[in-house]
Amino acid sequence: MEVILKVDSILKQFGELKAVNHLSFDVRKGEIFALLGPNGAGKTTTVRMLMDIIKPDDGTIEFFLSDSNLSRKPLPVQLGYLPEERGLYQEIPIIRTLEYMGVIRGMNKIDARKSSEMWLSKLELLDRKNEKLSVLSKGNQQKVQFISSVLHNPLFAILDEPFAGFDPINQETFLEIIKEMRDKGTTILLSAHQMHLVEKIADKVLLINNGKNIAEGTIDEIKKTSFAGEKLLITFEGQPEFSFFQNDDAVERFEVIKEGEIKVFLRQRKSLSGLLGKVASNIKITSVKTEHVTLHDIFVDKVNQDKERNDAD
Amino acid sequence: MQIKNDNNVKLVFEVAKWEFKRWFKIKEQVITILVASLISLLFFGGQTLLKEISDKEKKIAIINNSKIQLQFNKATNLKTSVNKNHQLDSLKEALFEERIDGILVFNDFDNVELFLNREPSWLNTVKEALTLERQKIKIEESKIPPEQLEDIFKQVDIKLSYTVQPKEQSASGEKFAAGIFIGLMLIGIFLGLAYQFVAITGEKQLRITEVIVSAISPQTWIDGKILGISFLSLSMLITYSITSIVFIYISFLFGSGWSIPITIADPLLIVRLFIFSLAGFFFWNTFFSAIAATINDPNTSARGSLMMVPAIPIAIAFFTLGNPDSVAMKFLSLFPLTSVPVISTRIVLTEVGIIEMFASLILLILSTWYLRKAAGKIFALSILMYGKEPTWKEISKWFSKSNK
Repeated sequence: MEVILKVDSILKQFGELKAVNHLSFDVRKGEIFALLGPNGAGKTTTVRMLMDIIKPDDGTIEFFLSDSNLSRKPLPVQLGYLPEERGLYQEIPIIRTLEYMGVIRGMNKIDARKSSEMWLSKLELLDRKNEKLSVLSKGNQQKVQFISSVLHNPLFAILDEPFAGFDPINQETFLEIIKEMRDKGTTILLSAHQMHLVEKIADKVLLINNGKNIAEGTIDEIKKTSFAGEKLLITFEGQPEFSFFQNDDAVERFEVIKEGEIKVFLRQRKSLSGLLGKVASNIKITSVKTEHVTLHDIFVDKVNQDKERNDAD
Repeated sequence: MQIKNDNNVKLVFEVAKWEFKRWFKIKEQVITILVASLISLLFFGGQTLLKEISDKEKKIAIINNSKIQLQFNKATNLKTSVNKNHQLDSLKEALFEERIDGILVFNDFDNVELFLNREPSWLNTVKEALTLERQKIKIEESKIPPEQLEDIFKQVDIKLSYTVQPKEQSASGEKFAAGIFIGLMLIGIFLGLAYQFVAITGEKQLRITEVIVSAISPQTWIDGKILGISFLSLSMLITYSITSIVFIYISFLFGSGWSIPITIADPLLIVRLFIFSLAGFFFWNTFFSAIAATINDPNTSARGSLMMVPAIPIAIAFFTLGNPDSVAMKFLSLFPLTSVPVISTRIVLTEVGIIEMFASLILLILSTWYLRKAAGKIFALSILMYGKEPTWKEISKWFSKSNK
């Protein structure tokens, strides 16, 4: 797949703080690219630089959205943007606001209206098109905000926290909508905290912390470079010692989740018989189950590793 | 990174149209004119009605206990009847029953009594009639011939000789019209500024700004706002001008004696005032868009008080009414902060040279152009400062940084 966005060593500094620290990545045409990181990792600053709302202090950002555009700068009509800081005109009928959003992105008024109505219909809001945004529920306001960012059918959409504010049903709906957009040719860069949702749709993931790249690739690739095996979830009684885990080859690491519950991450292709024997003799087990390691686990692990490295430095 | 053309005229007009339509409500304008018409009808109609009531013929019974012949002027609304002293009680009864309005008991000029049910609006008429009667008698008693008396009270006449040809003095009607125009301009400027503040700070508070500037450049956005709100101010000026004309016309119908001076209806004058008003609205809206861009919350920001700044040139413009051709007023006609109200007033009151008008307009347009650039830069720099209002020091630092 051809590269559609090339970010090369961008730096953004606010005073002494390097919010984005020489970050580089590529996004390929037709993929869903997830930008992940804890709060303050530099995701929103990166997104704002991509949208040209703020300028990088160093590095380059190049879009390859059409052959004719040699400037490597996208046209507003080619980009869609759902910002983390949400907001639309509260006291104006929804359809008028959507038309305006389409027009300032380069659509003509008729197309903007048609597309707005199509999206409103898709999200079951068409009958409310003449109502003011302020009378809608928070979830429905989020839907209108989403429509405003994609109604012009952009080639590249940047969605900052697209699932925030939605209930699980609507989160699933938006997963399908994002996939559908990708299938119709829109490349998507999204930033989200809901790892279980990202895992379902992301073709590629970039994990950042302190403005730096800490892991990048497809979910499978990241899992391979990580403790991508299984994990044991053990519930128990009493207050046992867990030091035996540290000396076992099969254990990558363990986490006491809460009193009476521990999560043990297992190395791939290691025999568990020794480990299970130790567990049985040291812990009064009430239940055991195995689970696949999730993106969330990898995310936490990578961020912790990065933190440990930084602390050591 | 995106191609956001600063000179995208189409987008500027789209934003301007949006801003204008967002705030302009034709229904409100029509209601304003109708309410003003109704108020002026009630005010002047009521005044006329009250006058008619008070002008109704008043019946005064006179009991003249002296030998002086009292003759009330027939032009007054007083209808007098002569009565005898013994009729006083029956007259009092008639007064109580409101068949008559008063009983005047005249003994001599130093001893006059008036019986009434309530305070009379016609008291001065009676006083004037008696005073005239007294003067007539005293003049007759002094035996001075009327010609001599006239000569005694004759005023001194002064012949005025000018060394230079004097300019035609503005009529009081024109001064009145100029005063009203300054007032209307003040309303237009202040309402425009209020909308500009709400439009800019409101979008920042609602977090709309980031969505908008991801599609268009801050300069395009602020240009559109300035254009839209300036036309909104102009529409308000037109509405309030119509309201004033309706007010004056209704007052004229009810005989107030007010009228619109014929010179004000001159199409050339209207065009000139229109151009300067529009230029003024552009200037002040640009000035305040830059300030509003730095404000986070208009309810708590001290910078909101800067909205009072346009009151200063408007106040200066009122001095123009006294001496529109003074050197100071000619200078203030060129200075962009004061030029619009001052030159507009001078255009109504006196003859302003075409070169002077052009110079004033060009200086105004140039300063608006540079202010607009500054407003765009300040807005672009302060756009994402949620929750913190930048200090003037920070703004000037950004500004000099962005100019490098």
